[in-house]
Amino acid sequence: MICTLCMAEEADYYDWKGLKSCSAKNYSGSIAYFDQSIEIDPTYIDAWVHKGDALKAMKDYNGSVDSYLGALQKDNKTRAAWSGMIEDYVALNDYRRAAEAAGKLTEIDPSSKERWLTEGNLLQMKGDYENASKRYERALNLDPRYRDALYRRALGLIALGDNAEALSLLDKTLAIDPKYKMAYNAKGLILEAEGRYESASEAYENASLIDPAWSQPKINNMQCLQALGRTDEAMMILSTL
Amino acid sequence: MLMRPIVCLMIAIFALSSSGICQDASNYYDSLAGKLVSAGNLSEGLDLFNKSLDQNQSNDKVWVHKGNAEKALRDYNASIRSYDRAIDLQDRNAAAWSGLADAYTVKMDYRNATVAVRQLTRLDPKNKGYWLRIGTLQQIQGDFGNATSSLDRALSIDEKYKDALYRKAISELSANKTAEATALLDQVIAADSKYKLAYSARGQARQIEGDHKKAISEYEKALQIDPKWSLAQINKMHALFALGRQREAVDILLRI
Repeated sequence: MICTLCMAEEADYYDWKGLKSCSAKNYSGSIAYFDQSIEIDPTYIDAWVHKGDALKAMKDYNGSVDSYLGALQKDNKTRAAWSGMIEDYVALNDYRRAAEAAGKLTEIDPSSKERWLTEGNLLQMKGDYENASKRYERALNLDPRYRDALYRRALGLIALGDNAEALSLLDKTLAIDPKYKMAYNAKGLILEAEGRYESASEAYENASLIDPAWSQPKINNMQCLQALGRTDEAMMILSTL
Repeated sequence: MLMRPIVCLMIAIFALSSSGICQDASNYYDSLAGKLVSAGNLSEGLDLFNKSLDQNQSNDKVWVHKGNAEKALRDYNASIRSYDRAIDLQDRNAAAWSGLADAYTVKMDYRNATVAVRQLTRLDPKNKGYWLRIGTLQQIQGDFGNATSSLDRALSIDEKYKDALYRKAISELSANKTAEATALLDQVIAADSKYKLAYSARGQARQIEGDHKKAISEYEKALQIDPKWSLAQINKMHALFALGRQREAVDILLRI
């Protein structure tokens, strides 16, 4: 009994040492400590997770995933491990696995709107707009005024060609938060796709008013003015970029 | 009687030597400040430039150095005042005019920036970079006609000056002269196949002509050079929208 307690304390101690090294950005040093902690107590989940974090900081994403898997073998509901894995897969551009990991988190926390949003976003990144839409609906069931979910759902609808419904969602987003610059930007894209260039240009200008340093609506507006035949104005924008 | 010239001489020697000491001190502080600024210690460098100027207010070069430090600290109004002081002392100080143009450009005061660059072109009319700079500022202000004249001056100095060729193509595009623009952009690409801006502008030329498929192909060439370049990505997204390929367009939007 005493020995087990000692082991736990020792594992905790090396984990703490590892975290100290990590905060000093000595990642390889920290991994050595985490390994010591794991060697003493292979069931010590925190050390597996922290090792995964350190490996991620060293951009060893595959090694990081392996470490998180070590934590998950001990407890399949370790949120930090699933979250860490999502980041690794995103860094590896593997959105399929990232979305699967996000799915596990929503299973663990089905009442978290943020989890549904993250899963939806990752499904969109892998091009699965249909299933992403369902995730956003779940988030919106929890909070109908959840602007990020409304916005991302609108993007999904644009991808699926339902511009009218997307426009309505973006207007809803802007009614909730008139400073939501990305909604103006996306609104401009829909209006432009429908040939309503003057209104699209206005939407881009609104986005630029909220964030004058954001180049995307400026480039969008340049394209829009170009489509309107106002190429001199378009080229003025291009000159400033 | 003999005492008066001796006293005068002594006063003159004292005045000359104290002025020399002041100049030495001023130069010393300036050099020290320059080292601090180079090491990224801008605030302390600025303090030393002030000390240098306390010793000698009439050194235009120190005013320029001070202006540069203030500009780096993003205090553009102060930097403009410093450059102006340098110019008051020596109106042929190109570094002061150049710094002034930069500070006005950052403040988006393109009119005054143009005035400053114009002065540079007067000081050194053979400098193609100054003509490019003035052409660019004229384009930003929508004065494409005069921009073309300025760019032509740059090209008369160096006919293969790719930045000027590119800028001239933008002027042509502003007047919907896509063929002329394309010919200039082709020259840029022939000179430098990695000039991503030229591919992007060629894509815009194709879009103005309504050929979105060819535009996409140009944007993809730009993206091969710089896969994360947002201008080409956004331009491609618009071309995809124009072709009704909304899913592909949104795929790009999510990744910008």
